[in-house]
Amino acid sequence: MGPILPVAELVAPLAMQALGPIVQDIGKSLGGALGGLGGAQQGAGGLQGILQEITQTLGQLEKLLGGPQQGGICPGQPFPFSPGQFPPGIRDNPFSRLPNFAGGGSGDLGTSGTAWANAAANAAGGKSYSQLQSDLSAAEQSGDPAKLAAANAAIQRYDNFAQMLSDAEKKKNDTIASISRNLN
Amino acid sequence: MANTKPEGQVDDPQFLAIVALAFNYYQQGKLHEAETIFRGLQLLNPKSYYSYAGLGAIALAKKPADLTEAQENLSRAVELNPTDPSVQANMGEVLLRRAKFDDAASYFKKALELDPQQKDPGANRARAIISGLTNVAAEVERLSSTKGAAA
Repeated sequence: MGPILPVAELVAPLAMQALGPIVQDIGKSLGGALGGLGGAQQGAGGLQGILQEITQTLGQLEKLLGGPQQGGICPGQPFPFSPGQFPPGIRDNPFSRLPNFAGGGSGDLGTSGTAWANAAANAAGGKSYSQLQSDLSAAEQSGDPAKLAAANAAIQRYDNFAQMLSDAEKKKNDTIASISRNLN
Repeated sequence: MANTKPEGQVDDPQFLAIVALAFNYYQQGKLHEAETIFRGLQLLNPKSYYSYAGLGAIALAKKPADLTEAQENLSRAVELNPTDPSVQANMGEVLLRRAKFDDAASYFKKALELDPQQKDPGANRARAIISGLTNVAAEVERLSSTKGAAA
């Protein structure tokens, strides 16, 4: 059996913001072999074995890394998708393309407010708000808890989505107002 | 003309604008808001890879990460669009966290190959993770040898 080493002593000096949670998850997945990053004592033999396995599998990729890496400088959050897969104009300024939420298309985009209502309805399974309310009434009358929960959840999804889009509309208007104020 | 665009990519500017809105919320750390929009988008267009990729990244970014949900969503995202290096990298990270090292290496490899110019932030995150973990392994080896020699 090798010497006993606290894992925290090994990882902390490398100051890797993202690697801590990754190492912890690997530890959990392996049944706690790497757990206890807060200073628990670990058998270095087991730890080394796991790290050797990681090195063997990931080490094969070193030739693809493309030169020296900034060891440990790693963004804290994963990126959802590649910016290259997304039109930059829309990514940087989505507000220019968002349809108007309410009020029947009075904005400069010429898009009917029904686009938002349709989006919210689709989020709730393709039903309008009045249909969802009818579903809820029917579920209440049926006394079936599962139906009631499903109807409530559908209305909640509609509300959440509509609220998010409404907030976006407000943000767009606030941005435009702010720009106008700065111009005046 | 042959269409080489992956099935999961969508061109509708209004749909993409809502995706961008969710993306911006995510980047600001507003995971709940981003999740609500991505879930709505998933219902709006179940064939778009963006919502699965977004929900996968959110599940991975949560503390603690929800690895089951991340893997489910990212598997679908990879299936719908196998050409996005960030999605491949995220899938690699999920599998790495689940200690499925060989499978993780295969997704990381794909991510790095899809980004030979080293411009993609997701692939670069994968590069940092790979490099960081191999550094940890080397450090463990070094400290272990030092302590062994001193004993």
